[in-house]
Amino acid sequence: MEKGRTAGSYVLFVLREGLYRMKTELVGWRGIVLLVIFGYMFLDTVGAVKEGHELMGQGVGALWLVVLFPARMGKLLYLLPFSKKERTRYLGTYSVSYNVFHVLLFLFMGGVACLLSGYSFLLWTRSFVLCTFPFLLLYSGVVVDSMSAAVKRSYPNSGWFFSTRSCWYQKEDPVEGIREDCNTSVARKVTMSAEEKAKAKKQMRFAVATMLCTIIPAFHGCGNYMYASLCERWPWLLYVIAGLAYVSAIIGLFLYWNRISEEMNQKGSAGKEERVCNS
Amino acid sequence: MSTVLDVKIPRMQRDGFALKEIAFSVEAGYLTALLGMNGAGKTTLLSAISGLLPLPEGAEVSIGGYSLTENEKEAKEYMGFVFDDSPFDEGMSPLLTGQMYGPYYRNWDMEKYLTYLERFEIPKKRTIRKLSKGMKMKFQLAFALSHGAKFLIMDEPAASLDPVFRDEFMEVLSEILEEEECGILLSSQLVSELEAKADYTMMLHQGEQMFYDSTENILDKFFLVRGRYELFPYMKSRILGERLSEFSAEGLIRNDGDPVRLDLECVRPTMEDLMYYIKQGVVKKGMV
Repeated sequence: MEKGRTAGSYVLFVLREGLYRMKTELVGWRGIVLLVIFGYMFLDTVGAVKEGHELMGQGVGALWLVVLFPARMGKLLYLLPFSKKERTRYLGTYSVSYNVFHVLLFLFMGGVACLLSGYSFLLWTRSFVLCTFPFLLLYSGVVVDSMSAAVKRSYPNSGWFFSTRSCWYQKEDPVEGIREDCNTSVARKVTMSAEEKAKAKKQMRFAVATMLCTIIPAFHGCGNYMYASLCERWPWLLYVIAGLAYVSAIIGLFLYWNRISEEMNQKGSAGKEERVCNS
Repeated sequence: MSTVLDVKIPRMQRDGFALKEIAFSVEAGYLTALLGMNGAGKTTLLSAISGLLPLPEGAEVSIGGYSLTENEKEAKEYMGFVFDDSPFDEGMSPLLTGQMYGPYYRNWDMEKYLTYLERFEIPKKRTIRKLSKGMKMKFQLAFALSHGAKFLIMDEPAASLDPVFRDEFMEVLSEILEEEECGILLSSQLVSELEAKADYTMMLHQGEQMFYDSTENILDKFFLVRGRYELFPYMKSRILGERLSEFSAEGLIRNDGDPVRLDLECVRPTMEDLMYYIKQGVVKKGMV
């Protein structure tokens, strides 16, 4: 086997990157924010013990966690000597490890919070599995998508928020909106061909679809306490919404992966057109 | 002399901007300058060559004899990159970057990498973010050379360096060209500095390849005549374009061997002069 080419070496690589992150990113300002998140989660469990209310801070904690540790690869992904298959495999490995890293860190923080507050870790984990995990799962799709496309789109981080910005230009001319958004600093006279317009519309459809897939997991993950009383009355409701969140997350992941695969095949391949928006 | 890069791009559309009929090659041991004004398409071209943008139908880019479309992995093994905006994680140290990303290259040589870091006086354990701009460039260069790259692609590497560091960087490049026998394709706005160093020059204008030849050949094709404006009408038929000021006039003529009036100063143009006349539409594709 060639050095640095096996699936195991990819895992090793990502683990090393994980360790590197633990070593360098948990100290400094990120470490401080992490402590704040931890404090928030701890108070959340204290509140759940003393006041007997539902956990309210898990989703928000998870949201901050993923925002704190963005994936980083960008151009390098396309500059390193990967074949298309290897690149896709690397992204898959990275995505899984990225998620595992977050989940383990989150579980660890939750465990310590429960230990200190006396809240049941089993209940905490149940809440995590039912409410927060679908959101984390979906976010790993956003991450991989950002990594694979960082070079080609003008948005350094993609995902529905950035992509749907373009949709807000729709009132006048959505295509021109995207055009203005994509053409950053270089002033060039631009006219879009019919093909480019079709691609822009495809991009918009993707943005809307992923946004829809994000709504349930994000709302369920960060705001499930808002309908806790309903769930108390109808316990099955929580499971139904959790199920919907998982389904949405999986569909969202599928959409992201579909686009990533498409882009992987585009890279450097003759006969394939490029995307509309490039950095 | 071996070819390390061979590019043939019939047409490439991107964001309503098109690169048209690009064809050139880079030889081992030579520095090729990629020049052009803002928006000429330099970065688009470099992105396509380095695999950051997909190639259109019919385009062929081969690096070290390997096709970028058919054998991307092997092609990338031969390619090193130095970008103004470093693609590496700025939170890592050069040492860690080498340890983490180096093994992806078949010919990665960690010892060589450490030697280069030492030679370029780059602190191994300081995070890339904390390195000066010049050090970042040299660090990327060290990384590229340590995996045995035979073709180096550089996008505006000296743009934000101070003149002293720029000289030093160019000096390093000259040494590398001799030692490593690799070819370099370097894009820059610093035309006058590159003119003296580049063996070959490729000029882009509005996505079009204006010329590609040895720098000497290109500059030998023209003359600049300077003098009093009243004398210009006598040479009207030969003057391709003019640049007038309050006190003097300058005109571009072809170096076709015909004598020039003795009362006019006749000098070889610089690349900057040629860029000016290209922008004026005086120097056109095929004139070189």
